[in-house]
Amino acid sequence: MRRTLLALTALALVAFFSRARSAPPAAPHEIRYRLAWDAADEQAVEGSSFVTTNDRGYRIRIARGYLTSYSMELVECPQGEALSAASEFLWSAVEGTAYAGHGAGTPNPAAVRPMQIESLTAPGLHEAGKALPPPQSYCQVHYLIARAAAEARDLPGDLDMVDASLHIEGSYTTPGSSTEVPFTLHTAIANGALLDHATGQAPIRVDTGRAVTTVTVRRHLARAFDGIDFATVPPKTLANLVLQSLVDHVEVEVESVDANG
Amino acid sequence: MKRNAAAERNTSSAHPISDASYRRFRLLATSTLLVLLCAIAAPAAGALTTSQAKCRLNLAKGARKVALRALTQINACHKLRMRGSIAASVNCSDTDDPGFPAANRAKIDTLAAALVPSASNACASESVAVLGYASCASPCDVEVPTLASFADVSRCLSCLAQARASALSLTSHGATPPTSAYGTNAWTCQKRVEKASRRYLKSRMGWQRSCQYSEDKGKIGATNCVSADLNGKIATALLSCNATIAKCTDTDLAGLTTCGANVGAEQSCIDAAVQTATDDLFAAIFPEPPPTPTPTATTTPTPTPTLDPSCPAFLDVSGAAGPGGSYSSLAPSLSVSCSASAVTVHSNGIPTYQYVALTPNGLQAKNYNFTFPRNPAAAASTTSVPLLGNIGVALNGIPIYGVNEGPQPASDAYGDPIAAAILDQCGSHSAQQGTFHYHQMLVKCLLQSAVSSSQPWNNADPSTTQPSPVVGYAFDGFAIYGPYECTDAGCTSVQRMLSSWDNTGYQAGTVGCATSSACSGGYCNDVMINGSQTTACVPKTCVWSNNTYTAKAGSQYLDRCNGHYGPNGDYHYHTTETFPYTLGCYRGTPTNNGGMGTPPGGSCP
Repeated sequence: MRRTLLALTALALVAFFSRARSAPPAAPHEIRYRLAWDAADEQAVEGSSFVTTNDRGYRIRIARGYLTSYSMELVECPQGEALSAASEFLWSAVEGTAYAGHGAGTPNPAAVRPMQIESLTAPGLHEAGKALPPPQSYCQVHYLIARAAAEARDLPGDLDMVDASLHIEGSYTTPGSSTEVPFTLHTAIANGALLDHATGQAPIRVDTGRAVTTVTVRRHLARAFDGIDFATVPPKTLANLVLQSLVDHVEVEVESVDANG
Repeated sequence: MKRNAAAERNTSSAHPISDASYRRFRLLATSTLLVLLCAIAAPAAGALTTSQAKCRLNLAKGARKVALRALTQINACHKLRMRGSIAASVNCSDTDDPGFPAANRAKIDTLAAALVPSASNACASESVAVLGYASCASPCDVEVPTLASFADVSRCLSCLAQARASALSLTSHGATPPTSAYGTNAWTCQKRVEKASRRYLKSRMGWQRSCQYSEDKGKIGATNCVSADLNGKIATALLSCNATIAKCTDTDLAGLTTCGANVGAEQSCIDAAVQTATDDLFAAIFPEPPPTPTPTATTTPTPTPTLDPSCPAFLDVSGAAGPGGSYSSLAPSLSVSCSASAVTVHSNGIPTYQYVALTPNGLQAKNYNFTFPRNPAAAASTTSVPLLGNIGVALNGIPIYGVNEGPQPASDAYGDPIAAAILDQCGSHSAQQGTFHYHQMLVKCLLQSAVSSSQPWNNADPSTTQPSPVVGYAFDGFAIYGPYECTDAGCTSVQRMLSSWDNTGYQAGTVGCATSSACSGGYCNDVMINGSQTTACVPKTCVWSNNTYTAKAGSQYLDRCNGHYGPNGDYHYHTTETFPYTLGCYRGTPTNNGGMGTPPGGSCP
């Protein structure tokens, strides 16, 4: 035990002095958040409408639709999960003060709250914001759909989306039918996804100050209507079902590159 | 009394009586009966007394009448809508739709009201509990929260009959059939589907009832009368139903929003919908009577231990849907123990319903042991609720937090989480360390019948004509009720209780706002202003600074703590639609179960 402690102390001292001599100072690490749709979604636009067929055989046409992506944030690994106590100690010695994790009184420096409103008839890529968190390990990504405020980004001019998380105007066609049945959803209901990044992967390490990490939250609009039997589902629950299906099919992609080329 | 089809569909699976258990009961009852018959050499007798059988028969006839009356009036509404006599936006499958013709609605209500005294008379010598009527199934548990009398049972069955008729209509019509179909062959087809489904339901309910009455009277042995078709009449009725639908063409059906896209599909889905309606009603009309102890000549039956009725009743979460998703391995656990002076709630803090990840905090099981006084008493002075953390516990074991959110984000520090809409549709979300909690409590999420529902927010809204049940307990021991309460001890009427906290921080010129577009950096929210509930834009900042308590005259107004002495003389709290939603302060002396924060609630840091 004493030997271990001595060895750890020695390592820490070496690390401290080596850092003091040559390591660059720890600097905030840039996190860039992006909102994206599945590639197939971008190809499902016919004229000014988004058109898809769900797994129940209903053909759905969105003539006008908006979604409010309220916030995104990397979520710290539970204490002790990402690193052992010893390695955490060493890490702090090498990199300076490790960020101990935000508590009830501190905000998450890795969070962005863009309140980005996206058109569902023109699904595309949106840069949702940047964060500059100090060194930290992250294990999850949280994505929240919630109602827009007046300061939301890209509020549409043709519809009041303030207080709305989702708006869809369109129609569905029952399997075997050619009659389009109009429907409209307008809701303030929120829903979110807490996505594990670490499934078979290392935690997202935001540590060096020399890299840029891009977090892409990718949704599958074509699957937002899966499982919905339009002929029987009560209108009251339709918005809930669409939102749930949207968050059930969210994927997160994380890519780090050296900012200095 | 809102009902929805999702709740209807859930009902059959949520019903406590399965066919298998029902058959087991019949088998057990018959076996016991045979033994007794041999022992005392009595003449053959039915499983129930004649009076009991006649009581059930009366209830069954009443429920069938209401179901048929409801279908007739719903179909009449559809006709009015299709020909343009009422608005096209009316959902005729929902008899509570504001646009549903009042005259048609009244015809259903009149019949249902007339059945109440009839049931009370027919069952006058019987016991609700002995015949197995324990609780009213969803969605009618809101309208009829307890079954204390056969009047309650009658009201419950009438409500269920209407709900099942509505669900059947939704299947056979869709919510809003295309009005352009009126006068066309498609409309003729729709009328055929209406007629076929109504007749099939009438026949099926009638023959099921006849079978059960024979069994109740002992004329036939143990039989599953849900599926038994003793004389083939139900099969004949189905053939007739299918034949009527077969007069439609696929083209006709394509012009409608009924369930089937072609004749075959239509026949199948109407058959299934009628079966669902009738079989659900059968289970509600003919519940399993609780087993009675077998008497012996030589020993005195051991008294069954009973729960102390003064120990608060919490929910049985053993059959809960649970949080699901990536938390499907977590199941809620809850138990309650009482001493002479204290109640202790043991809970793991896991919700009975689907967890929605509205915060990045996830969900973690806890080991709560919340203790509060069993015999609460008002204190000489009130106590502030803590600024953060637990102030009470809901009936499902989830902690209740106070009205304000935490200090982050700084721009919204200690703001109103209801106004900010960062709660799930039951008024809950999780804090750091995955601590699930309420800021607002909705009755429909905290009923026993909601426990098996993964999305209780889709359940029917509570009745506004019935007093609300208890939804939780504050840590001073006083109960927290939902928003509605009797105006007097006899409950001659019910009123919605109102907070006496006025919003004094709202933005001028925004009273009556419809959305937050009217606001400058705040939220359009429900508020009280000078004792009247309205909407106004409220700031995002600390909610205690924006609300002021002013005592008001009128029995509907609550005190500073959001409680009062009710018509029965007991003190309790109510949930309200506006600040402080649960407690404004403690009237009694609270125990400390994890509340914290400086300063305490009532002011801002």
